[in-house]
Amino acid sequence: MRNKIIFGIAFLGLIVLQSLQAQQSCRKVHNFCKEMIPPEEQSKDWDLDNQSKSATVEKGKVYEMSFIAYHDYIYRISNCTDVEDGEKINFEIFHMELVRRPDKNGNPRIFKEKVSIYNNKTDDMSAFYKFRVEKSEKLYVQVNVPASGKSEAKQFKDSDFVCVGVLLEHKKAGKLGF
Amino acid sequence: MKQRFLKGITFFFISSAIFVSCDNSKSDLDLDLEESKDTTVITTDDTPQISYAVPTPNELFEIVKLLGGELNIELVNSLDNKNKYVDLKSKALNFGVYSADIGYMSCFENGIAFLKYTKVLENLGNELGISDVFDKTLMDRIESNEENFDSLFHISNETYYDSYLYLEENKKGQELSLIIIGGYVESVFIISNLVEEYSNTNPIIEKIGDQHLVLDNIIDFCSQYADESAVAEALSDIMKLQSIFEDNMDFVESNPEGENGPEIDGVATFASKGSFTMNENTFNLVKEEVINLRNKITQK
Repeated sequence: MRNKIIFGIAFLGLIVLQSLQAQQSCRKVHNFCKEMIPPEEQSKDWDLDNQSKSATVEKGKVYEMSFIAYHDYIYRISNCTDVEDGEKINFEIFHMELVRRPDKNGNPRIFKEKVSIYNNKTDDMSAFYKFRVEKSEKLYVQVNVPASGKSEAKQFKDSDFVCVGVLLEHKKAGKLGF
Repeated sequence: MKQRFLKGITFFFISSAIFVSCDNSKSDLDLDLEESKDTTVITTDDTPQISYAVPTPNELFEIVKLLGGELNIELVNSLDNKNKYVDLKSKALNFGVYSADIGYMSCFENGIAFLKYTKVLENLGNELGISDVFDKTLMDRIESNEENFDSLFHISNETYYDSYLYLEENKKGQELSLIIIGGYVESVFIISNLVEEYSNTNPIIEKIGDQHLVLDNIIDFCSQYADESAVAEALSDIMKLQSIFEDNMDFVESNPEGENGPEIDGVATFASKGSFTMNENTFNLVKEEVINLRNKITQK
């Protein structure tokens, strides 16, 4: 019994340690998303947006990130994983639409509805997308992590996890306001 | 996620009530939070959220500068206050405050106090377990770039981001939440005080209004750590600010059909059917509340 408990604690510790190492091994993976962007788009006038994120995600799952887009900037978003010879990644961008309509009792209320505004499936699975917003908005990006393939991170060679990066870059919009 | 926070904060307030007293003001605060939840906004989507990103104070100051904002050095938190911060909560909150101050000063090309403020950040960072971020290379870079404001701004941005990543990777969610809250309060305090009087054509006021979106993500992010009493307390403070935004901003249906703008040079333009905008009352209430919050954090 005692051995079982010790084994259990050791096993749990190993999982925690692996998880911590896993997270560290994905550090700044989003920087590699730039490699997915074609050469003609590789101008230097894009600044890294600090909302860019990297995460450890289970294969086949969806990773979602919410971020704020200011209307003063043009954004470029690109997504990548560290899957070796990975297939193109599907991603979708949503925004929160605010709509005034009557509730069940007929009283006017404002409802938030998450609406898809871009899906790279309709854009030849493009690795990046450029956009701006008329009003500053909260946006969401959902990245569909491939269900197969091996992670380049040593810790994940034979595991169900991979590193996912969402690279957000911005530059000043040419004209402020619309 | 907010439900998780409310659960956490309810636990915190129940604990406080048991261990401290039967003070009615605490019940009032709890009630206020419930009321703030009962706004006219209803979320109809139930997709699980995984990750919440928040723009840094530097990004806000960069925009405010573009919009005509100026440097007012009297707005930054005095270094004389640094010895007041002795507990983890005030250290982390004021790490965020001083980080935002450094971002503001470097953005507006004031490098005089940059090194002094960074040294205070280094000391606070050491006590918060992020000494690795403030290595000799960083200090050398600052010293050799004292007159190069672009570099100082870049360094301050990088330092904030690296601190963020370090804390996130090392599961220091409590410290990270408090730093983000401190940085947010300081940046909204600064930009609110750059405006003397309300004007509906002042773009900086529009930017203050945009901060309700940022606050929303901060609350979602920090709610993950609301079982820590320091985070729960700080969250209840900023949720009051969120209520002020939500209860007083005007809802404007500027584009009822939701038609997106034209794609120009490969850049798509997303439009919203409706959005919240600032008005004089909201501006005055936000400014007043953020001054209170900032005093509470810095004048401990």
